[in-house]
Amino acid sequence: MDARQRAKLDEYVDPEFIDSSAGVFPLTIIMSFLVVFATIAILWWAKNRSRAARRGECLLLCGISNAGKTLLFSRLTMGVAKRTLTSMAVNRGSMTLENSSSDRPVKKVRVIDVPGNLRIRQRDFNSEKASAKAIIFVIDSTTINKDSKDVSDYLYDILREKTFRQQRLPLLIFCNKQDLNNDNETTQSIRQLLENELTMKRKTRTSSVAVHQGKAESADDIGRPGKDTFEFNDVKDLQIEFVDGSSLGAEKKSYAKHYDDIDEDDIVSTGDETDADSGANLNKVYDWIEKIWIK
Amino acid sequence: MLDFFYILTKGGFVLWCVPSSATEFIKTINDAIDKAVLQGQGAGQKWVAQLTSHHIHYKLDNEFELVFVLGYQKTLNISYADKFLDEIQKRFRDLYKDDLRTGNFTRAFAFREVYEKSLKETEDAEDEMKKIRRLPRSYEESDKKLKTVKIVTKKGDKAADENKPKKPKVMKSSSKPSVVSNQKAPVLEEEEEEEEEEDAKEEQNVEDQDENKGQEDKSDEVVSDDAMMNEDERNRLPLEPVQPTALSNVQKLQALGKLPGPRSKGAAATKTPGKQEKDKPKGKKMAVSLKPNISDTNELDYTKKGDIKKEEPERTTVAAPLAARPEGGDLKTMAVESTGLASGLVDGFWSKLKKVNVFASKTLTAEDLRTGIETMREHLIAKNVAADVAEKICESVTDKLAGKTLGSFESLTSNIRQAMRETLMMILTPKRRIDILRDVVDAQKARRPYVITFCGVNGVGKSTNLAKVTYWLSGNNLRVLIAGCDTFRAGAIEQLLTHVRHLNNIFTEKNMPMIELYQRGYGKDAAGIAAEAINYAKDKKFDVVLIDTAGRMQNDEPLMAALAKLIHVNNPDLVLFVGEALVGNEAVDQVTKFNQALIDHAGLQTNPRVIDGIVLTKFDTIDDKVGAAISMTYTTDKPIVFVGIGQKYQDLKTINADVVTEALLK
Repeated sequence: MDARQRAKLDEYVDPEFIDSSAGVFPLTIIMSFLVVFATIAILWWAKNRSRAARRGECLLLCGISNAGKTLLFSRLTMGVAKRTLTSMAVNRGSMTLENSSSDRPVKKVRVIDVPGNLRIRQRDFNSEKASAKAIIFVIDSTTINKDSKDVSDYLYDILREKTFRQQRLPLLIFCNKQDLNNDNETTQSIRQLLENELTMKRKTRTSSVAVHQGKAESADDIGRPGKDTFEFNDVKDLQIEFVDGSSLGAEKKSYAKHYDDIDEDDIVSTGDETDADSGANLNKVYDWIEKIWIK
Repeated sequence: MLDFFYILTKGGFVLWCVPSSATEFIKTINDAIDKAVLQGQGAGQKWVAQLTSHHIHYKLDNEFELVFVLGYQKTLNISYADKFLDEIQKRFRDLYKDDLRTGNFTRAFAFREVYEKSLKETEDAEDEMKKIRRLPRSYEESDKKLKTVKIVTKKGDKAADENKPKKPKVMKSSSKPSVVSNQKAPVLEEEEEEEEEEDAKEEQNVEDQDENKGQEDKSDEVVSDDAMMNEDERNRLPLEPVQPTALSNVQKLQALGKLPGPRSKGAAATKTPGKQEKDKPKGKKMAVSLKPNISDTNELDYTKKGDIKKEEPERTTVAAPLAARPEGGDLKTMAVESTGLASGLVDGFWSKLKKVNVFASKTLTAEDLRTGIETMREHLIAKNVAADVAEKICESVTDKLAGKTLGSFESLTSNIRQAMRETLMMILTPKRRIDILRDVVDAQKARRPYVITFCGVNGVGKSTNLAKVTYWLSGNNLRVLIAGCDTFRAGAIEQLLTHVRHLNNIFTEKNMPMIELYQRGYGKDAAGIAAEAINYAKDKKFDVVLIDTAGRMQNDEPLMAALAKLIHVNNPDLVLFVGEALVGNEAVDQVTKFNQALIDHAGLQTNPRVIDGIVLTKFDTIDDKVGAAISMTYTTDKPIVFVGIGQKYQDLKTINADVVTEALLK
């Protein structure tokens, strides 16, 4: 009797509960999963978006140690010449371009300064090269004779980089420190020197011992394949330009402002202050940057 | 007193410095940053500059990405340098926290007064410390009291050796079936020694446990036993009195779980006689005290007991360390290490690290990193990295990560892994790439041959790899002269002759043979032969000269002097140290001693030649235990030029830093 009553009650009671809960329950689960997935997806997208925005939009400063990259970086992004030492980490900043035309008055250019130290250069360069729209390769004009091998090594890697060649990257070779000595190497002689070095580098690199378990790299040769000597004119995939100048230039005095010893003089200026016309400043670099970003 | 103090960002901007006009230190600091900070060569955040004889201390601030560097002359002895760095770091951060966080580096930091004040305070504090007259420490405070167990351990080594002949005498009194004479194998001797220790230790344990027996006189008896034992000990060995501390040490170690507890007797049948002895304490008192040597070996090998109890078949592996004790006599750490290795092989690296907590937006302290770094150190050692090198690498990783704030989705594991990978990559990446073919071109222009010397210990593969290098150079159309300066080993010259004949068959070119061997037989002076070979090469217009030397042990003084003479007289362009990848801790010793010998026997030269590059051979015989590469490059700071991966001519490659780093971190 009881059992039958209970069964009857169950009959009355159960359908309501079971049906509705059966209807709601899986649906809630699905909804909650969707919400969670959506949140994660949004977070991921937001995280990657900030990185994607920089892709292919930055100005990269490269060069061997002591070339003057970090000083150039401070001039471009902060407008002052800060005293620098060897960089251990990548510097990121942005510079504003004044445009005379009316449609886009101010343009922001992201600048990335990659340390020149050989140990960290590889890792930092590889992680930043994807975001490069243009490269300034800084060379110390006073020591180029001594450092030609290292400089050409680095330059060879840049010239061979597949992604750069595909996007026809503009490359500016900036012969820095023209203000230091009087008998510096001129742009022309540096160009010649680098061409000779790169000619030899092509031969030695291809004949060197293979890397153990290295990726099979296709022989991306620089310059014209059949020709023996290398010339910058042969490089069609990248737009190469040579300029000279000085990151320090006429702003030598600015060092003293930031260190509170007012009675001590900083770097004593050796030559004339009228550096504007001698090319020992950054005007040409600014022109080149404007040319690329404001087309 | 301090020559300079710089505060700079990791990106290279100098935020503040004193003296502000100094440009002469830039080179020193750049060098220090390159070697000490980047590569992790600086030990404990200090660095000694070679050329200008400065001591440089630095401190990394990982939260704001700053570096604090100070330097002073080597002749001064400034003890407050580290404290001063900490002090300045704190003050600078407190003052300019907001600016640093936003990255506003263009402002002027008026830090001079704070700096001066801080410097004065630190200097005054130092003077105060020196002025306080320090009373001699009492025995209670001294380190010796804490070290008693260790000292016993050390002296006990000798005691154990001395006691072996005494064992048969002593064993007669007990009826232990495992008693054997001294003629048995050492394993068995150690077996019985361990069992003796177990028994006597048990006796002591049981006796020490007041709560178990509930008898006061037991403890008195134990104390007097110890006293008697110690007297005997003292007669034999010059040990200080162990009596009051032996008890406490035993109890301490028991509490730590290193000794078996009171009830963990195990199943060995030999224990029963011991138990019977315990039941009649008074009667057996003399017997107990007649075994002083057992008791003092007891106090030595706490760790062995645990191992024996757990796994019988492991005995042979435990016996081995007993036979060759580490110098510190530090068996405790060794036992820890062995279990670490075993578990490392089973679990894998990252499962261990996953036990560490995952923090969200937390600043890392040294304490948080400690377990992770410890695991990593053991892992590196398991991969055949030398122990000191692994230690220093872990220290530099700790420096790099301490104080860093974790992002919201980052975990501790991934941070440690990233930092490790960076450090290892930086060690394996050379400071200057060695391009032999390019340098040969230079030498050709100067109308002289390019000279390479191969040196190393016995049997690492110098001659084989020399042949491989010859094969490579000949393949690039260079004429090679091999100088047979191994005038000692039988068959060395013939071996080289065979190689030359083979290679000439492969590379026939016009009428002139591409490769020649210059040899003068055995027993002659190697340096002289090398000099003649170079002259011969210059006359006959050879492009490269490869000098093969005899293998020699790094601590063999006359041979090292002879090698140094060969190198300094002939001044080769490249000195290559050939080392095999199978070597472990020896790598550090070999490379250091070779370098040192070259510097010491330099003669009158101002710039002594040292090793310029490393050739890592037998790389195919190790699977992923590639630690030797790290040990050698870390010690010398010179690149690995070649890697030998087999015994044929083509088996010559250059090192792939990515692959090696991944293998080390796997």
